[in-house]
Amino acid sequence: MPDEGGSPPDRDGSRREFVSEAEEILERLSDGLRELERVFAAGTPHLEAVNTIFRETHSLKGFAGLLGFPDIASLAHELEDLLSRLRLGGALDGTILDLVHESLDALFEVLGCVRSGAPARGDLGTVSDRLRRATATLVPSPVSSLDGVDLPPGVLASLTEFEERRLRELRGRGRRLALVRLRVDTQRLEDDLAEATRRTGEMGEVIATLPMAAGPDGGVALELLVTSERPLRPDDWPRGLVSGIREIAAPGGHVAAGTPGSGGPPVAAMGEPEAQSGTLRIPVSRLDDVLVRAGDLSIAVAALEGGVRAISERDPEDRLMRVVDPLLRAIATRLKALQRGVIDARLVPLEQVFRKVGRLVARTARAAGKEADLHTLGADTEIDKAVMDALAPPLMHLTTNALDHGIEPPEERQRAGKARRGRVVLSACRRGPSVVIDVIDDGRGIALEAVRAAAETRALIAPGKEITRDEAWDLIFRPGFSTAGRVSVVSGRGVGLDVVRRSLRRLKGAIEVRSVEGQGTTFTLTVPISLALVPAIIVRSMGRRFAIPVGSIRENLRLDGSRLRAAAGDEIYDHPAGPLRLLRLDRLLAGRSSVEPGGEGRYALVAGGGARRTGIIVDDLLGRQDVVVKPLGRWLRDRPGIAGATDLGDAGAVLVLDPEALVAGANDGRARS
Amino acid sequence: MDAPAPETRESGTGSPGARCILAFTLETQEFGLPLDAIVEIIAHGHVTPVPHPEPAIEGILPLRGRMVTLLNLRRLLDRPEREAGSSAQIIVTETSGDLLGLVVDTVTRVMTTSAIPEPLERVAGLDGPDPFEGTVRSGDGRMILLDLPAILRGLE
Repeated sequence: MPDEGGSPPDRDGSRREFVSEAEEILERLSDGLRELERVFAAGTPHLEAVNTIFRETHSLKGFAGLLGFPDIASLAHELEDLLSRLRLGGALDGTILDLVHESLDALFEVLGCVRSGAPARGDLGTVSDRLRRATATLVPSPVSSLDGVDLPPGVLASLTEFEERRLRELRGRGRRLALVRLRVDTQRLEDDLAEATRRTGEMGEVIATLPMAAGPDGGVALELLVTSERPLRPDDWPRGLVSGIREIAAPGGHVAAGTPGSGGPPVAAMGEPEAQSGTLRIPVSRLDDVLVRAGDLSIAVAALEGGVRAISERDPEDRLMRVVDPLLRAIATRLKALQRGVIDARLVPLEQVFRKVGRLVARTARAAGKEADLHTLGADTEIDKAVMDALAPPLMHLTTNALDHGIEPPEERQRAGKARRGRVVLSACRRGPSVVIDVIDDGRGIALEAVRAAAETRALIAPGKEITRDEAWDLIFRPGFSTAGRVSVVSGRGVGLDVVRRSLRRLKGAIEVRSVEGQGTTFTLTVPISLALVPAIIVRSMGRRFAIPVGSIRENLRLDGSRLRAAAGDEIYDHPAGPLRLLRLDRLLAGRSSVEPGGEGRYALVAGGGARRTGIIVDDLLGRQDVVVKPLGRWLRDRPGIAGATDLGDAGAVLVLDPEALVAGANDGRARS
Repeated sequence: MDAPAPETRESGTGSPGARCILAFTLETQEFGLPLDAIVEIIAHGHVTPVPHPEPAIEGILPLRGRMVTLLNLRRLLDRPEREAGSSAQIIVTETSGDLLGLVVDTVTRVMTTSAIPEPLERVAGLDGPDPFEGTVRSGDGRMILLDLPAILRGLE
C-alpha cells in the first residue's frame, strides 16, 4: 500500500472514486443494519442479516486496504471480527447494535474528511478499540449438542464450522437426519450432483456433500448429509440417482438429551414451516444477456453524462442541465446496482471446485505412492460461475503437482521428522474485488539448485549462472521449463506451470509461488470475482487512457522524484520494500503515431511478484471504474500486454492492459511470454 | 484465425456475372469492393492506436459494443498518407465474427457490374498476396477491384 497511507492521498480522481464507492458500500451497510435492527426487534433469526453486513464490511476492508486507507481498513477489520462472532452465534444486544451504528457513523465522517482533503484520525482508533473489547466479550453461543446423533466420525470431522452449526440448529428444531448415497456417472458428475441436490432441497436441506472413496465400475459415490421433516425414500429422486439412504437420527426425540436450555419445543409446535425462499434454475446465458444489455445501457448513460458535463462546463447556469444532472446521476447509480445484482446472481461458492479437487486427491496420492489429506478453508467464498469453472483445471493441476512432486513418500517424511501423512491445503478468501486462493503443501519445497540445473539444461539461463530465489520462482513458470516430459527432473514442481499461469492470465488473474526447501510450497492465485465487469483503475499515460484491472495490481505508488535513479538502462525506484524496477508504457505500447514522450510519470502501479515485481509508470490516475472488457479482433488478439478494450461511453476505445504480461514481456527481454 | 468465410465473395449476388460493388477513392484513384462482406460505413475519428507489426493496422474503434480493427488502405497499398485534418471514412466488413474497418478517403457510390475484371500488373514493392482482383470499367476510367480475402490472408 502507498507508504503515506490515507493522509494526503492521491489528489483528484482516485480519491473521489474511492469516496463514492466506499459511500455506496456504507449505504448498503446501513441498509443491512436497519434490516438487522428490524429482525432483532421482531425476535426472528438474524443470521442472514448479520451475514449481509459481514460481507459488505469485508468488501469495504479489502477495498480500503487496496487503495491505501489503512485506518478505514483497520476499523472495517475490527467490525468484521465482531460480526464474525455474531455469525457464530454470539449474543446480539442493543449495546452491540449501537456500537455497529457508531462504527458506521465514524466511517461516514472520515469519508467526508477524505473527500474534502482534511486530515482525520482521532476517532477511528477509539472506535476500533471499543470494537475489539466488545468482540472479546462475545462468545459463540452454545448450540444443541449432537449427542445421540450417530454420525460417523469421519463425516463429522469433514464438516465446516458453518455446516456443523447449521446441522446443530436444524437438529435443535427436531429435523430428521440422513445420509443419502448417490450413484452418479463420472461423465455427468456435475449435472447429476446438481440435480440430486436440487431435488433434495425440495424435501429438506443439504447440510453437506461428502465425497466417498471411488465406487466400482468408474462411477463416483457421493453422500449428501440431509435434514428433512419427513422420512426420505430412494424413489424421491429420479433415474436411480440414489442408491441408499441411511437414517442417522429420527425426528426430535433424544436430541434434547443432556442439553438443558435447548429442550426445544416438540416437533408439532414447530408448525410454521421455515420461510422457504424459492429457487430458480435458469441458464447462465440468460443472466449474461441481461448483463450485456445493462452494460450497453451504462455506456449510453456515460455518454449522456459526458454531454451534460460538457454543456454544464460551458454554461454552469444552464437550468435544464441543472435539473438533468442529478437525475442522470440517480440513473447511473441504479444501473450500477442492477449490474451488481445480476453479477451477484452468477456467483456460486467455490465449494464445487474444491470438492472436485478433493475427489482427485486420494486417487492421485495412491498412484504416486504418497499419503496425504486435503483440507479446505473458505469453501463458501463466492465467485462467478465462469471464473470458478475456469479455475478447476489450474487448481487440479497444482494439487496433482503437490502430490506428485511436493509431498514426499511416507518413509522419507518420517526420516525428515515430519508426519507420515502429507497435507495439502486449499484456502480461499475474498480480497476486495478479487478472490485469493492458496494451494499449500508441506512437502519438500522447491530446490533452488535443481531449478538452476534444469534451467541451464534447457538454455533458459547462461551456464554456471547463479540465480536468486525470486529468479527461480520466475523460471519455473517459463514455457519450456518443463517440456522434458513426465519424468520430473526437478525435485519440486515444474510440470506445465506455464500453462497454469497462462490460464490465470486469461482470467485476468495472477499466480505467485513461495517455497521453503524441506518445508513446503505455497501457490497463491488471485482472480477477479467476476469477469463480466472487471474493476479497473483508469490511468493516463502518453496522453492516452488505459484501463488496468485492479486484481493484477499489488500496489499503487505516488512517485517521489528524489528516489528515482537509473541503473543499467532501467529506471529504479528506492522503495521501502527494496529497489523497484520501473517500466514506461511508451516503451511497450508505443504505436507509430506520435505520442507525447516522457510525460510527468507521477504514479507507478506495481505488478508482478518476486523477480518480476515492476512498477508501471503512468502520468495520472483518473479513477476506478468497473469496465466491460471486449475482445479485440483476431488481428490484435494476441498482442502482448493487451487484454482487450472497453468503451467508457465517450470518444474512442480504451485499451485494457494485462500488467502481468507487460511485466513478463519486459523481464523476458522480448515481447513473448 | 481461420481463413475468411467463402461467402465474402461469390454469394449474395443474383445472376452469376452481376456483382454489386461499393466504390471509394484513395487520392484520385477509384477503387471498388464487393458489397457482400460490408456491414456499414462510418466516419473516421477517435482511433485508439494499438501497436502491430503491420503498419497499416491503425488501431481500434468501438462500434455498438464491439471493437473494429482499422486497416489503413493508403498504408496497405503504399500510397502517401492522408493530409492531416482531412476527413476519412471507414468501410466496416465482417469476417469470421470479427469486424475489420477499411480506412478510405471517400465512399462514392454503389454500382453493379457484370464485367470480368481484367488482370492488373503486379505492383512492385507490395508484400504478401496480391490485394487486387483486377480492374473494371467505370464511367470513362477504370476502377481497381480489391480482393478482400487476399487482403485478409495477407494479415494473418
